[in-house]
Amino acid sequence: MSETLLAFEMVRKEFTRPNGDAPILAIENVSFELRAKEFVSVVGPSGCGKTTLLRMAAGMTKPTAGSLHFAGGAHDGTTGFVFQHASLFPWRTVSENVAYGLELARNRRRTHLAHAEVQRRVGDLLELVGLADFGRFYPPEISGGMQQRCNLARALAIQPDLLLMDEPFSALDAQTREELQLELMRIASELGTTILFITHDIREATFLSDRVIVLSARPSHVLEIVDVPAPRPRAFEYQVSTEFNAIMRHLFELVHEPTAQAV
Amino acid sequence: MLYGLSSVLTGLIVWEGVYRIFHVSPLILSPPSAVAVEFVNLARSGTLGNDILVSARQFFLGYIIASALAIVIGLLMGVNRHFRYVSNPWVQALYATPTVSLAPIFIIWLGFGLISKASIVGLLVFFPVLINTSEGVRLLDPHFVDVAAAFGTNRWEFFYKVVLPATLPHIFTGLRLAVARGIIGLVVADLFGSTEGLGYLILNASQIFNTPQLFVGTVVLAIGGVLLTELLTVIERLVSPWTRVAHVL
Repeated sequence: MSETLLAFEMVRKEFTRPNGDAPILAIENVSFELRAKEFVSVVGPSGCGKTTLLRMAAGMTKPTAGSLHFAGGAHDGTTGFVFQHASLFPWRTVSENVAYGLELARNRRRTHLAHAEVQRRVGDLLELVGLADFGRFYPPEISGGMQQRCNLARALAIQPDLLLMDEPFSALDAQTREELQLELMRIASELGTTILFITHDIREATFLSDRVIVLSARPSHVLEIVDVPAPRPRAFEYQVSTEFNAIMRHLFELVHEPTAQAV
Repeated sequence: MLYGLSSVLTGLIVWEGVYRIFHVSPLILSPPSAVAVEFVNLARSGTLGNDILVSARQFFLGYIIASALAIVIGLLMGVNRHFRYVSNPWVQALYATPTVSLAPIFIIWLGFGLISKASIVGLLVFFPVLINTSEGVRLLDPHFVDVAAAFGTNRWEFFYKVVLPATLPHIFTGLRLAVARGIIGLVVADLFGSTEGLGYLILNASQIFNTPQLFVGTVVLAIGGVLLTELLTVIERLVSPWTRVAHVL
């Protein structure tokens, strides 16, 4: 297997309360590694700190104890973030939304991107996510599924080493969700992007991932890391295979075990 | 547009009809026809043109300076928590005060001329713009804050690429509300002492019981207000085209 891209080492996260209450321990002890070009999902009961893990990887929050290590030294913001809520800037067209990260990079002269080069990259990305004809539209003018495609393109535009996705399809209807899962499967293999993916949907996690990390309820730790051996990209039909169903069943039992005992 | 026009025409006809059918005293209610005649008379003599010019100059000077100040201070209040805490009591208190009651003081300070009149207009224009601007910043969708943070947006970029465009529609709401308030300020300023201007025209008319002249002044102010509000809507459409898009798919 390829080299490690990002390692979470004994990460712990407490949230302090404003009025002097005892802090809430969200993440007790989480360690895992992400390898380059890997697709890893994190599942677990709600409130177990999945989103917090993503925010740490993006540098938006720091662990209370433990650490995150990016391969090759300092973390310089080359993570892309896809939120559950598409959150496209309504004052920017689809193209301008995709160009957002590139504009920031241009402003800081971190890269010497000519305007034409930005346009070309935006065009390629719109092509990639199937929005080539919608570049001049404003976000409210396109459907929820298309907005989420644009959101993905916006995150991919800065060519991130790591793409962080926080339940990106959970607000979509079932049909659009399946469509976008297949699109993501294709795009991830085409670009070789490393992806850390948060979801509540065990089927989605199993279908898309090389490995699925199962977190316990809060305060969370890693219950098990489950391999999904079938090579990517996978066809839709993989979801009816015996292997797929065995893995899904195992994951289901892991995620729901504590609840079952409580009932 | 067509609806609006026919609605106004119907209103005028009803007004004229009521006057003719019930033989209302022209002192109480002068018919549109009399107002129109008076309008032509005043326009011919040059008084009306001069009054409009004087009032317009007072209005725009006050409106533009006060709006610009209010937008800058409103943005600061929205962006900076500490600045908001410090300025909030003043804003709340002054907004709740019937600020027109301060008009005589302005006249004592600044005299009867352009500057004092423009200041009174500005005082009334200032608060709706300020409050809409600062509230607009505070209403910023927290999702955008997350997105900006995820892209490593710095403070300045966040301000002009996210806060400013997100707040523009609110700023324009404030600017539109301020037109009506500014016009009230204009008339009130003239009531406290003046020798020309539309407020003076109205005051003068009421003193000599010239009801048609009173209506001429009022109608000119109303038309001015409507035109300015429409102009602002057109400008808003130009600078923020996204607020007018239809939800298609």
